[in-house]
Amino acid sequence: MNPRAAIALLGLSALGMVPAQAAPAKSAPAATAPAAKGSLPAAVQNAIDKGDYAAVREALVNELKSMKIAPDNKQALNLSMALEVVDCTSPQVLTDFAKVKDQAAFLKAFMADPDWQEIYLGCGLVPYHTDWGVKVLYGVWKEEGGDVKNKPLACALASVWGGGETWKDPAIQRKDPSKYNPVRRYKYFQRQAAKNVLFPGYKRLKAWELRFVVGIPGQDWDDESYEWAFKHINMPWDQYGWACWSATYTDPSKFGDSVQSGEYNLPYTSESWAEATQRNGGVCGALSHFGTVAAMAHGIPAYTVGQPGHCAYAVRVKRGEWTGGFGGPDGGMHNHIFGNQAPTSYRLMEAVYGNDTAIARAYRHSFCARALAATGQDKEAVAMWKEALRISPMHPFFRSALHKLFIKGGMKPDECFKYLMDALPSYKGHGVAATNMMDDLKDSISAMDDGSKLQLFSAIHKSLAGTPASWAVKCEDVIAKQSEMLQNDGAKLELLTEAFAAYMSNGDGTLFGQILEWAVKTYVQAGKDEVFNKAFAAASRKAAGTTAAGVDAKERTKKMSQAYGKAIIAAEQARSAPAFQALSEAAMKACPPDDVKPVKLTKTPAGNLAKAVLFRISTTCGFDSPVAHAGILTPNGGKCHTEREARPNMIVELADKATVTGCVVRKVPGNDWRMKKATIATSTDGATWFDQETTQDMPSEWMVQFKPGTTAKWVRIEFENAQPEFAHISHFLIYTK
Amino acid sequence: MKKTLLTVSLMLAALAPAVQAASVSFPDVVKAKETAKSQGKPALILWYGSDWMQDSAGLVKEWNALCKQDIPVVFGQFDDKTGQTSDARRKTMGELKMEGYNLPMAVLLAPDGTFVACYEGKTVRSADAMAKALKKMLEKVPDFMKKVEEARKLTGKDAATAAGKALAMLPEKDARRHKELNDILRKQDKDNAAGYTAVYAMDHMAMYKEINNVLQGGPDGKLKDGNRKFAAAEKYVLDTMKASGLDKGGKKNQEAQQQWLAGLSYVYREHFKATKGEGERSRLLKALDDCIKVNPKSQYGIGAAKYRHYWDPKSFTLIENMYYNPGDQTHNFEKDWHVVVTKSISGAGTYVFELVPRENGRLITRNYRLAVNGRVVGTANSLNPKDDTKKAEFTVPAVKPGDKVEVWLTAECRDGWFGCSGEIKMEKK
Repeated sequence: MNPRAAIALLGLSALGMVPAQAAPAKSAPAATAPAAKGSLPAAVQNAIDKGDYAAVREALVNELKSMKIAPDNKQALNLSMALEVVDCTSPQVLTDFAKVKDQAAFLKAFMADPDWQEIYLGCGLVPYHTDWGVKVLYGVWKEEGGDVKNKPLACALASVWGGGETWKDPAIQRKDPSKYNPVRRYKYFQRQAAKNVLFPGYKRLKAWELRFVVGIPGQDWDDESYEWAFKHINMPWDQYGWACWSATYTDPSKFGDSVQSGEYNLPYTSESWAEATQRNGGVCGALSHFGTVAAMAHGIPAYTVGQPGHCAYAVRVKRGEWTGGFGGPDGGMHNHIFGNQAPTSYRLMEAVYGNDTAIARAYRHSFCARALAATGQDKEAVAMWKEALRISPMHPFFRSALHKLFIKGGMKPDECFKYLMDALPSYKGHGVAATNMMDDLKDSISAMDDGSKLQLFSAIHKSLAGTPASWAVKCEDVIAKQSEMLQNDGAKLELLTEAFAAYMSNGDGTLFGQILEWAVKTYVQAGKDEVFNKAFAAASRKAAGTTAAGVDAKERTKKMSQAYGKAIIAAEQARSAPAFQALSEAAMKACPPDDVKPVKLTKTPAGNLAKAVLFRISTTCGFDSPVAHAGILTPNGGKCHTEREARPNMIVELADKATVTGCVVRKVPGNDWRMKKATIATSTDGATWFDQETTQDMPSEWMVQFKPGTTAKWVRIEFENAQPEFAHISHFLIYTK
Repeated sequence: MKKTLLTVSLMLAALAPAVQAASVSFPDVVKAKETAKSQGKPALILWYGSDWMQDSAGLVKEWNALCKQDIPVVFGQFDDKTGQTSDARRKTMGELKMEGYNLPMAVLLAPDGTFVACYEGKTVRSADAMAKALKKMLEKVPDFMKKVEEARKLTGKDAATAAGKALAMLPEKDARRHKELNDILRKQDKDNAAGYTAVYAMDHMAMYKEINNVLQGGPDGKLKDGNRKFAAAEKYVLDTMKASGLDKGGKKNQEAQQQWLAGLSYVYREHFKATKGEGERSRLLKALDDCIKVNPKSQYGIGAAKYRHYWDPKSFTLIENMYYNPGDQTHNFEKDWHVVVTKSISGAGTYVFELVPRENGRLITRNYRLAVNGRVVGTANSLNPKDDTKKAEFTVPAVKPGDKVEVWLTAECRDGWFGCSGEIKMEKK
């Protein structure tokens, strides 16, 4: 892109920061810029002065070849960072950028400022082979007259707008530059910080954290929204997870338009997005953005997150602790450093960057490692990368760089096996990250024998099982790929057994549900129930620490029931309808509940019984019979039992969104007094609930007729108790038109 | 150990207040309400945040001045502090039957705790403004409570009439968010017989639900498109407005007036979309005009003006920043764009005008013209006006300094709301 056009695109001309015509400003900041902080060798400086960044690169490499490249050699470290800036941005991009006099002056200042480069290169995503990063830094530099007062903030903005090697074109780049302007954001945060009105923790945020304050790369709102939200939303710092509700949840709009129509937002497009949303209201997407921008405008890190049929958000007032708003924080993050999958991404980010001193050291090693590779010292580069990873073992970009060198060097399968087995223990609690980092080495893994593979895959599943998960973490592909890599059926059965056993023994059950879902699809639904059951039974034995020998049939049925029960709860938590159905069906064959007797309901609402695909219970307990949950959705009935809770609830998910006429809920007889105050609510997105009816004294069989025209995909019953209490029902049937 | 202490202190520091805590010495909500009840006085609860709010010292100063004035209320406070548990917060908010997102605010409660009014923004930060607003409202509280008591005791239309009269004494925004009285209206007078339910207790969602019910032929009706009952829906809206006194204009209940006029415009718009009839369009524009007239600066007024512009065939979209946004477009019908290109003109010559999509939706653009000072002086070179293109070449004549040069074209987005946006270029060849 033409550099002048690039500046125009960024809207800096519109802000009066860059002259409209080609001639540079008469008093460019270069004239008043502070003296260079780092001293560059003459050859490098000459090339920079000429604006020839291919020559700059060559000069840097030549200089580095003549010295010991190590973090404790300051000159080598500084030159290594300069080289990384050039390589990351690309010599050609920098050469083009330097064709404009002012921009060349900025680059001179930036290249001579190792402290600034270190912040830029360590802020998470570093703009890759694009001028977006330097354009944003230049805009701020120009605005500040050559003396950038808040370099971490400038770097965070450059990172948000510029993206990185793994996220090359964040959507924010395609927004109207007159409304989405990084320099204006910089000024906004500097102004508010000077007035000391931002979240107290803001001042301590590093560049990688500021990325979550200054913009939403995937789906941002305009600059004016930040100004507006600051003035109009003011809550205690830790309560911005509720800020979304300042705007009204509404569909249709004030002028009657459906949110699906092109006209929904139309009447308020002159205002900022935040103001328009408060005027017009919105649904989950608008409200979650509203809450996020309200938090960010006050200097609180936040992000929006996509969920199936929903949009939520997350805020963070303590390092490492992301809390959800409107159903967040999990799902697909619209702002991220290490992939968009929350919680995996933010947990990894917090683990990698959480220790300021360590991560700074690790980055310095990484700069040197790249410089070593660039100067042809691959062996030394590998050693340097290993040292960087010793300090920060889970940094995915460091791993990836090392893996490239391994591949270049022709890594052998046995070396790969040893390397991975050594690396895995450092991923404790981050099994998904461990799995992802192996992707680079899949060819070497494929070349291993089945025995090594099984050992490695088993270790991965143990790591995954010890990883806090959520419904948003998807890992079915892991076992699918592993299974494909194995040569014989015996090894495949062994893999399934090891995986089942790992998740039965550890974890919160979510990933167990996913592995079960995959296994059900791959084996049960393909008519290989025998393999599934064999692996499942073997895993149950392993997990229970006993062997089949000496276990009588009754005991086995009990263990199977427990295992299926755990799996069914996992499927419910994972919101996996296929797994819930398959497991319930399998459990009914393998270990049918002996305490559920068919019951006929006395009355039902008008219409037909809806096809329900999933039942979810808020909590489970020792009295629960998850294998009987599916029966609750049938006229014969089933059984469920929550833990003691203030608001226990059960949710039925229908196969499709439908016009629903009513529902009937029946208590499990006995201890009826427990379930008195109850509310039936419906939802079309699984997150926003509309009450249909509330009773203060629920009868043993409660029939509710819904408001005419009610559509729903989810129906919920929630009990309200003054003191925590159990809830137990036998039927929850929904009827449609 | 050192590290642990450091970590703990850093964590505490993360939640440390940004501002010096400044607080008033009023009793808490529960105590203030008890005192108000025992003394038969209204309670005025200040809701703020002493340890995080901007200029809490200034607010405290004003409120200390306010409480020294001779205002017959019992002062109370709810300090919404950082780190307060959500349970504690919800409990107090539940007692007030309020929620607030832009503190500070103040809530005026009748002696028995009934919500009366809420004060926000500049008013709540000024002792004088608060005193003035309170004096005006306190005069009404005895009559207001008399009607509230009646509404609580009566049933049916009588209860609704009493509730409506009580609400009519409050500022409209407070009346429309008065949960207790609106619940009475909804429960006792669903059909708006007393004329107050439609004014206070039906928000726009409830209104559109009713309108759509009529349009589709009843709650279970399935009428669609042009077969819907437009005349019946129009009658429903007009009758409701008449029964509620919303057809007379005036300064009272402006939001409700505008809401129902927006509802009327919706009926006409749906009719217009189904028939493309000019009569329907005229009625649509007239309803929006009426809506704007009630209060052009209100949320409805601003929205109706934008909406009117959108549907008016004679209007055009002015683009001044060389970027077209989703809000600049019409969906599935054409409208003229006037793109100001003056800054791109450097003398007479041939210029290339180009739309460079960023979101590559289906944008139909044709009929390119060149205008100087609002008058068409030429069309695009070698281009048929019907050609759908993103690029057009113009021969621009010499223009004087101060002349306004524009490219006019007709455009229509045939994609979703965010489908079409992009940069605009005008460069000399």
